[in-house]
Amino acid sequence: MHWLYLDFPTLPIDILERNTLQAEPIAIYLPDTERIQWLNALAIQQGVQAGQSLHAANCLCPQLRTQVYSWQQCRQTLHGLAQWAESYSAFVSLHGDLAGSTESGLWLEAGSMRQLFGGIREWYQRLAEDLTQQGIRFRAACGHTPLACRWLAMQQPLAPSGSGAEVISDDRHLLQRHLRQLAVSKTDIAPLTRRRLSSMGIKTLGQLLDLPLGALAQRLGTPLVQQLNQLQGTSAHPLKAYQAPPYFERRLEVIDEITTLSHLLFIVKRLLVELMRWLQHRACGTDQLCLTLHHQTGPSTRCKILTAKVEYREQEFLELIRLQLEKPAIQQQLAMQPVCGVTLSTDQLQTRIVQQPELFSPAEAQHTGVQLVARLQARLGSQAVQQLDNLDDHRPEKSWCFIPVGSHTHSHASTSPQPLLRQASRPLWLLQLPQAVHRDQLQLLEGPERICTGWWDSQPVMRDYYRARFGSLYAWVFRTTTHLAGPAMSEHDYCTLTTGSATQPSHWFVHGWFA
Amino acid sequence: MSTASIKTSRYCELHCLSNFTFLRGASHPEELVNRAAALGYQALAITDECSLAGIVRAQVAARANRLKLLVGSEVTFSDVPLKLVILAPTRRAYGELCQFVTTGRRRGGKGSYQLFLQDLTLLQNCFILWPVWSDLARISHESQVAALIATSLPWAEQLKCLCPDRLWLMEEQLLQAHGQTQHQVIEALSAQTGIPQVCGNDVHMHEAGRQPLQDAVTAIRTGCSVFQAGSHCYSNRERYLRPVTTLTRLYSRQQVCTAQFIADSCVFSLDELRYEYPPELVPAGITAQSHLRSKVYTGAQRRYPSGVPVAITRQIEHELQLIHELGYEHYFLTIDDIVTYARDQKILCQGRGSAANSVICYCLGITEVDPMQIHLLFERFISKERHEPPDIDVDFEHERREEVIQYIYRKYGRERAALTAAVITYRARSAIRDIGKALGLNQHTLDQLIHKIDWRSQTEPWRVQLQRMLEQRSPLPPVAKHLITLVNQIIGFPRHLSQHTGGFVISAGPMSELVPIENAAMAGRTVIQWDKNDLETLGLLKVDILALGMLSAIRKTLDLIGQHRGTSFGMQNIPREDPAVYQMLQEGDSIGVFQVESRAQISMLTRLKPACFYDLVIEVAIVRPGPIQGGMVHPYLRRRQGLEPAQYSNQAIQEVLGRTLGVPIFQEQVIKLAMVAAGFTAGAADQLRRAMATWSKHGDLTAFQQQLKTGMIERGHCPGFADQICQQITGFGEYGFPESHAASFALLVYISAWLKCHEPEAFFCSLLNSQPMGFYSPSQLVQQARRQGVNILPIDINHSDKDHRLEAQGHSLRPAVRLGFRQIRGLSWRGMQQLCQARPERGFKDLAELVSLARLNPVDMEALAAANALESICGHRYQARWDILAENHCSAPLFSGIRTQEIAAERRSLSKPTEGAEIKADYVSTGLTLARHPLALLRNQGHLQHCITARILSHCKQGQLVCVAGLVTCRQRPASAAGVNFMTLEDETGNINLIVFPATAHAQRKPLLTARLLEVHGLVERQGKTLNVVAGRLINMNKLLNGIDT
Repeated sequence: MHWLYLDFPTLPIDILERNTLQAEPIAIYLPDTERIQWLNALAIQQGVQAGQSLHAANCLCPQLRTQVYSWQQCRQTLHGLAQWAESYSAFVSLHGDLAGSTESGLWLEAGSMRQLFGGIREWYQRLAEDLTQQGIRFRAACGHTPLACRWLAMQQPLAPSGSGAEVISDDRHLLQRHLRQLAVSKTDIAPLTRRRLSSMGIKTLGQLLDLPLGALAQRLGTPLVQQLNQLQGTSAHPLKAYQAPPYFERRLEVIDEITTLSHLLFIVKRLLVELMRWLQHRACGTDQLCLTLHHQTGPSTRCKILTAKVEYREQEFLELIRLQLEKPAIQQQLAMQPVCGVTLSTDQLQTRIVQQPELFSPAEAQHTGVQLVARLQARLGSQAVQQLDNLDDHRPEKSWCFIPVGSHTHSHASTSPQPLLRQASRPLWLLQLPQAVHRDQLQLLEGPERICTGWWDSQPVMRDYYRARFGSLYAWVFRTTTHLAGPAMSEHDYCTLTTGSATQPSHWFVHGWFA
Repeated sequence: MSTASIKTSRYCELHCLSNFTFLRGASHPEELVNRAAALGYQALAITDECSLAGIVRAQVAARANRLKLLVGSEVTFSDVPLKLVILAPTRRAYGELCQFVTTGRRRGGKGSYQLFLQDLTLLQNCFILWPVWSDLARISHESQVAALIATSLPWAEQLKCLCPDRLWLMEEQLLQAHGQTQHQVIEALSAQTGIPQVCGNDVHMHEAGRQPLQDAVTAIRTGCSVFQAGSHCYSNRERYLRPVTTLTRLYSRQQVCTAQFIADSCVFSLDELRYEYPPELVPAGITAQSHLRSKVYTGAQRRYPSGVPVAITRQIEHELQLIHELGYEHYFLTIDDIVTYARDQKILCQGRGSAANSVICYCLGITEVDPMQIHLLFERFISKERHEPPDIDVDFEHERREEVIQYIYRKYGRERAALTAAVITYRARSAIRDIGKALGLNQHTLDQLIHKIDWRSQTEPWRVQLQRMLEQRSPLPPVAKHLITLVNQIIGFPRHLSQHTGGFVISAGPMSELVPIENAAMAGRTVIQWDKNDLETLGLLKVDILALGMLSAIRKTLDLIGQHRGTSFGMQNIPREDPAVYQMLQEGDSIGVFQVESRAQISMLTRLKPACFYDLVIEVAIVRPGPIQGGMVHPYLRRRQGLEPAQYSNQAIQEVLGRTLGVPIFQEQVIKLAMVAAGFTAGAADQLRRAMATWSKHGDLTAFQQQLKTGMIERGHCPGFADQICQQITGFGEYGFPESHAASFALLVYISAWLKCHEPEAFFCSLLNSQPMGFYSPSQLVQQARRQGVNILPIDINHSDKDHRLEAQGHSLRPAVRLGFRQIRGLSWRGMQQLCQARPERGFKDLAELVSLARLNPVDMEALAAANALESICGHRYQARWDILAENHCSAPLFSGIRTQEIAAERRSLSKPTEGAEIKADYVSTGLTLARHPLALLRNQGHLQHCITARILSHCKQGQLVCVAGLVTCRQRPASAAGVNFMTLEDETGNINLIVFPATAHAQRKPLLTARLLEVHGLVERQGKTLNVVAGRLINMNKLLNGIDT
């Protein structure tokens, strides 16, 4: 067996850099230590270094953009890379798939493919170009054992800038020579063992390999010897073959918050390209995508994209998504709540040519409600079929919302103390827009309940609610109480809110009907 | 207006939380009191949740506003869903309430409490108010009146049994849903049980405008943002102090009158609290006065063995008289008792503070400063006009202070001795972080904001910077506009109670009847709920038991000298006013000396050239932000050098400022000056002192400045002089240093300087044994000691002890310092003990013996090898490591059989480390090296040839262009000189002081902040003996350092 290892030491930063529109110094830190772990060239120029504290880095470079490390995102990208690598090798294996890992790399079996490409260097050349085009930097090496190529790769210069070509070879002796020169301190050997070796003056792998294994096992334990055996191929190093999951899901985080449609589409397009490649590789398509926009605060926005027929081309999807995102509601939301991440997913894989079944066809009659809803959504658009949900907010109009059927909101409500008595005082039928009425038409029965809150989201409410008789009906009415506006909020804030009656200081409205 | 309407417009609020109910209340106690007074309330109860921490502040405001303040507390029980408001009508009830709160707090962890309904039996005299609705709204699933009554009736009956005749149902109309239902339920409940009704308003803030802040603290409390807080926040902002007319509309006349009745029945005021001294300090049959007198005279005999001088006797009598008039005998006796204990245990201590430098304290041994030596006047520190308790802080050896604290607990019992609280409040950073989070701002954005603010900028205050940054970060959610307002509001809000560094309160009766006690974070520690200002307000006495590292070092030095000389040696054996000591200090040779070892102090020493004790007092006080910002340093130095004359407008001013050449340096001088030059009364001057102590936090001195200026001009001083004094006072701020403290410190400066000068081996050995303390690292101290000719010997398995020690040198009279195992990183304390106990008289002969006798764990063994402590039995450190690792695994039973043969067979010689590797390993393992300095090695290897050494630098001329290099040992940016960075480099011959001006620092930020080895091109700037290099170009040479071991 002959192996190639691709190491992606800068993967977290590469992911960010290829998604940003303008060049700026970027650094990524680990959440638990708050120390910088990865950074781009611009940040290095400013003197930021890996291992620095966030504080020191910000002092050195005030315009530094910093972001916390997301293992999730790296892992998704790594999976994407593994799927890509499958077109270069029959056997691909991942490194860095364990939760929280900060390393990312891929093993490719190299022996069988070199014939196809006319030699190992030619094969590597093609692969390296392809990878570079994706905006990913890497370092690579060959080896006769998985560990040998990994350790060699880890001490090569970064491609594409560095050459690193000397260790792309199948010459066993050459690789062994390189291996002996490796620094012990930069290998995978356990940190404590590495420190011990260094404190005995053992700096290179050559020095280490010259020591008798028995003496080493006695002093430094069997794991080291096991590793050295794997390195030399005297004991097995089983690798798990990568298997692509049967669904597509990619999340992209951005360092700048997205506030414009064009920026958003730029990001979406990148995801769609990945999706197209993924679908092509599987020779299938889909008629259903889910696009989720993640915000800094509040619940995420989800859009369902349905195509008329099974599709795989990025352009087609992009057109549909553009249409969805151009809706004023979405645009408005973008301005209010900037997007900090985007997820594209689909699990509705289909072979490319598929017969669309008839709605309500006899064969489908025994469909469950869930399926019915899904069908209705497919035909009418998912916005047309929705369900109601509670929101924990004192403001009546914000205490409920429409959500897609089958989903639920991610509000904080579940942990809030349930205001049990509150529901009893409110009507089930709440009007979309309060209707102005005249005071004389009302006979007030109970109240007031003053609701005065919501200063934080520019939609503050300041009203006195009453239960009132309106002819033969029982109504839930309110009076705007602008005269009570205190120093914290201007009166204007409250007036504009209450349905445009800004000119009148106090006015009565029906907000709902009791059964 | 008719009489009836006047009567109904009276109102008493019985349920009000301040911000001492952390993260619920949204107003300071004083804001609530002031507002209640302005609205014409008759009385206000502060009822913080299971706490009386804010009550004293409220009392101060209530006194000023003549508002009746009721003392109470709101509690929620752990075993039943009930919340009650408890009021203390009498002193006795107050004692019960304190005990009740203490019980709850002591049961809970830090910051929480746990009370059970049964605990109500503790309260036999307190009033209990039950806000029925707040409980019902939480637990009831029904909204029908009948059902609600059925739910609450059993509770009502139970409460009635527990506290009959002192129970009220409290209606709270906060314009929430079901207002009428609430009213009906309470009416019915009252009718059925006969419990009377009263009204209350669950006040959380003094005005409605605090609602955003109240919501924000609620969000902080629940760990979410206001967007997510939902029903955790209140639905409206009615929980404020509402106008009386509104309240009288909401509640029945009967309810309002009952509130009035309850308030009238509360006759207790905090001003009633009288401090009673612990009686056991005075033997039966003697008065405290005569006991103190006899103790003082016994002490005087000891101090003046050849007879007490007449002047001293006169002074003693004078002071005793003053103490008697103010009734402070017990206070002095208490401190005497503590200090006597410390002396018996051979714990070094030294008193300081306003009353510490009296002849009485000198005679009692509380201080070693002979007050006659510096002519301090007792009245300066304790005065009849200011009714404040005397203040004596006692510093103890930092490693043994705990013994003193334990003694106090033993002597007075835990129930009578407790630590003072320190109220930890929101400061800018914590405020931005918490409020930002509550507004839903990204954690990371906040961190960046906080990191990027230059907190010390004098040109652009942080608030302005924050505003600017918020504007620059355009895609911020609209909610961010609230950030600055809310941050400003929350700054100064208490967050939690912590323990004061050493303020003890000791009482005659149980402390928990005087003030509630709660658990501190540290296990076994309890704190009272009041801080030192509260105690001062109420006239309660406290003793500060503080820790000082230098006292440990001095005691250890004295012990070592005693051991070495074979006789006991104490502070009193040190000759005073030794010219050699002053000579040394004038040279700026003060590394290791207390207080004057920093770079700024060293540079001042060479300019001020102290020649007597009082010069040291000034030296200690002058290098502080106060005098520096007040611009006092240069005038003083110029006058001292005779470059300008000291001028005084009149005799009175000369008396105040004469001893400091006309420049106010001490806090006491500023106060006195205000009185003498501006005609302040003693009381006004004292207010000025307090304002100065806190002005940077709370407000400004403008009013005082105006008063000072007018006063001075009226008294014929020229406006220029008035301006200058004002400016100096402002600069002083909280950094002013009292003369009384400076005098106590100056004594320790002299003592430590004498020890350094005459007993350097013992001195440096003890300093190293007292680490961490002081300004310099062990490495710097060792280098300084070696420069002073002290022989330092390496750590050795067969010669070292746990601590560093003196070792006789055969050929020399002077001992050497043998480094101890304590210097080795990663070596456990237990390991050191095992090692020293197991070591045979002749030492371990080989590794096998060490292993079998000492039985150290592998980590300790490796630490020893890493420190090269095994060299005498194993050879170099690489080899030692290789050998001990084999031993470690051999000790496992699996290998026991093959042990010796294997080792013999595989005895492999590893190559010896290079010199560079040795140096690096030394630093890693012990933080210092006795081998060559890294710079010497690098120069030897041919690097840095163009750089001159510190020694050569000292001969350079002013303005000369030089190139130097060294290890960066210190980076400083003092608050004073705007933006100037000070750095210290160290090479093999000494230290090099760098000055980096802002432009240079800005342009070369990278090497400035990241270099560990720095090369600098710059200009020599010298002033007398002080020499600095003004940096031009900075070059990071870390690479050389990293490669030193290859």
